[in-house]
Amino acid sequence: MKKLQLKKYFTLLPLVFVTSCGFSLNYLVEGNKYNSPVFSENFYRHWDDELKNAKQGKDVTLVNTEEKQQYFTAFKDLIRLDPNVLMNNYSSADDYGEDYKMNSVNEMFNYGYQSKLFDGQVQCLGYYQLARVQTDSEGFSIRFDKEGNNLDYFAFQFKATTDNTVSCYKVDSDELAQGDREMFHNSVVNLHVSLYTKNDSNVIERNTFNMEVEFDSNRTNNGSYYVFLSFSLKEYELSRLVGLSFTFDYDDELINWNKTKGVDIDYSLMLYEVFLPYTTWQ
Amino acid sequence: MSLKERLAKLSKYAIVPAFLAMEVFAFIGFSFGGSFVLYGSLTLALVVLLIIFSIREINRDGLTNTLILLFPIVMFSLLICLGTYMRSHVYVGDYTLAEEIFVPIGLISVCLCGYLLGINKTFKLKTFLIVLYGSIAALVLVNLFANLINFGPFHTLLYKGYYMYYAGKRSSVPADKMAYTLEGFQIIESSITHYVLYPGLLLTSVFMLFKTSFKKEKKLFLIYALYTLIAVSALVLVPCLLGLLFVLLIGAIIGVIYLYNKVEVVRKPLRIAMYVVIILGVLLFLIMLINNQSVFSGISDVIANNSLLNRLFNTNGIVSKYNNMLTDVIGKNFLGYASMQVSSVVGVEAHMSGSFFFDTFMFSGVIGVVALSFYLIKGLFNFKKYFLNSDDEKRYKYLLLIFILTFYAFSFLFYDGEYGIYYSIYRPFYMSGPFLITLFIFAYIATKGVKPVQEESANEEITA
Repeated sequence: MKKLQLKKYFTLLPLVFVTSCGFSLNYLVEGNKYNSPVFSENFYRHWDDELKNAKQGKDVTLVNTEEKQQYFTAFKDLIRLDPNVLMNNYSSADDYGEDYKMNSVNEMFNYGYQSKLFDGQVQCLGYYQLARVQTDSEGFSIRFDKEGNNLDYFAFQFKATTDNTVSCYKVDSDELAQGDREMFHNSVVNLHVSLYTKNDSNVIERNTFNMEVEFDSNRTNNGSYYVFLSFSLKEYELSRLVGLSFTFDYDDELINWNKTKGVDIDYSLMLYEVFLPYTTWQ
Repeated sequence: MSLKERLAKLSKYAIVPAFLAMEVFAFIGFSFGGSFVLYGSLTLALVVLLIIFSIREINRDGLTNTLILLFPIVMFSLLICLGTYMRSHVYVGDYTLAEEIFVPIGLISVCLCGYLLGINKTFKLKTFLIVLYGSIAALVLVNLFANLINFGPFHTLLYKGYYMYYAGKRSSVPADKMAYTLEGFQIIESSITHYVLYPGLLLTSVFMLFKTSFKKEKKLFLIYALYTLIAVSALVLVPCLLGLLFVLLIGAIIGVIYLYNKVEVVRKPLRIAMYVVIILGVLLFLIMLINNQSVFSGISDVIANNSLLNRLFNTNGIVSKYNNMLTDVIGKNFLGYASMQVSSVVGVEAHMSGSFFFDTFMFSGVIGVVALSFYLIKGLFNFKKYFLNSDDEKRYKYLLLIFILTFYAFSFLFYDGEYGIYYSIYRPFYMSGPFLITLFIFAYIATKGVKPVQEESANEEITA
């Protein structure tokens, strides 16, 4: 074969490797990772490098008191942020979740491990670790492929819980608890929800919203497992949303007491669904 | 102008439908989303055009041969059309008979195209094969780039045991059993078995590199070299065991053909070996059927009690799928699924077995299986007459034979009609591009295998 023709064919080779971007590799998860019956093996702690190193923008502490309610912890209060919830007569977060799920807004929410947070399933429904994203205080981030604008409000459903498979002591007692129904105790979670936006110089800024949620671990203060937390974003004038993250710290009676007894118990935030209604993505 | 003169004038433009046929079959070779209504419509329109432009060439012998071959296809396709599989799986929800009727229309039209192009003097098999392989190469290239862009090269080796999450759910198969393929206008996650079929078929073009001289036919050599390169790239950059099996299969088929041609002393043993394999295959199938239906409990007991036979007929991963199919579909009624046509039983729980042969039980019942088997066996035997009587170049004859043997040998064990990982796709093999191409080839060779009509008698017809 002539040299020129050989050269022509070999110039095609780099084309093969240039196209080998591996975009879907980000959506792959090894084996049974995050799907173990062992509580401590399911912590999701993935952080996008750019989000991790983002410059701090707004840092807002939201309050929820009798005088001032800047965030809500029950689904029934969502009508204060979204009148359509009343109009559609949603009886529970399940119906709302099915209609407002993010993966029906944009296909990008269908991909990756975090797609669990955008599939409309707001409860466990017997799927345990398959239904939720479980994380510890280290938290995790989600990077969006597109930019979000016209941010209205942010909502998410979660629960916070100790590892109830570990044998432990009842609070202020030397007696061992028998199952999670004997483990009711006070727990305070300080949530740090960060929304990452790009500024005019295309630099990513972290805008953190801090909220304190007090409840009985494994139960909320209004009697159900879950907390449906929501807060308005309108007044913060955020635009070009490119990611979000969750971190938290906690003060848990059961964990504190058992630490004095030499027993270490894991604590986890279990997120089921995240909503950014009416946001436009491009 | 008399009708005969008009037809004579039209036949001068016979090259037009021949050219259009190449476009249609290129479209089919590209397997554009398995859109059967489109294939059926195009091939029907093509048949009408071909009849108009080639009517003077139609002869009794060729037509009789084609009709004999067409009869089982008519039966097979009508049984599919009337069956409930199409209704319950392929067209779910509001369906109309118009959609199902395109199955017999499509299959019969493709066969008739084979006949009509066989008698069309302007049709060139050489050009047709270049276009056909070109369309398959285009599809393979698109699939390859889709995989490189999404997974990168060698993902089946690098990401063994990794799973993809989509819509909150973990994929049913790991990434090393998955590949991206073109489906209509979108790229979807499919099984690796589906991905491998097309580069495997494209790889049959390697035969032409042995039969084409680079010095004398440089252009032709380079075309087939490009097709081979694309096929090899697709198999190497997305490596899997099935791809290797394809390479071995094609190597074995080409090797046997080479030996049969060049080494006279092995011809008889090869022929005997072929008959032995066929008889053994039929015997194994009959035993499997008897065992599955518990026709003779003695035989079933012997098989169950012998560890080797039990593994062969009951417990290995491949045969257990066939057994499930036969159990679900045949049941107690030997006519099986075909007997459910009229009673409109909707919804069959059976999943495709991974073999086109066993899937046929579900689509068209035992009668359909017999009809399709007759068509395939008759079609293969027609190759003998095709080799003896046709004026096509020998290398192209072998290429057609290799293509057909490769497709059916692979599809007997590894045809995946439910290949969507996240999408529910039901693409039975009779709706696949390669199957339609083989139907065309069988009809074409049946036509070309007929002895040429004498020139004197043709002249007598014109002057009469």
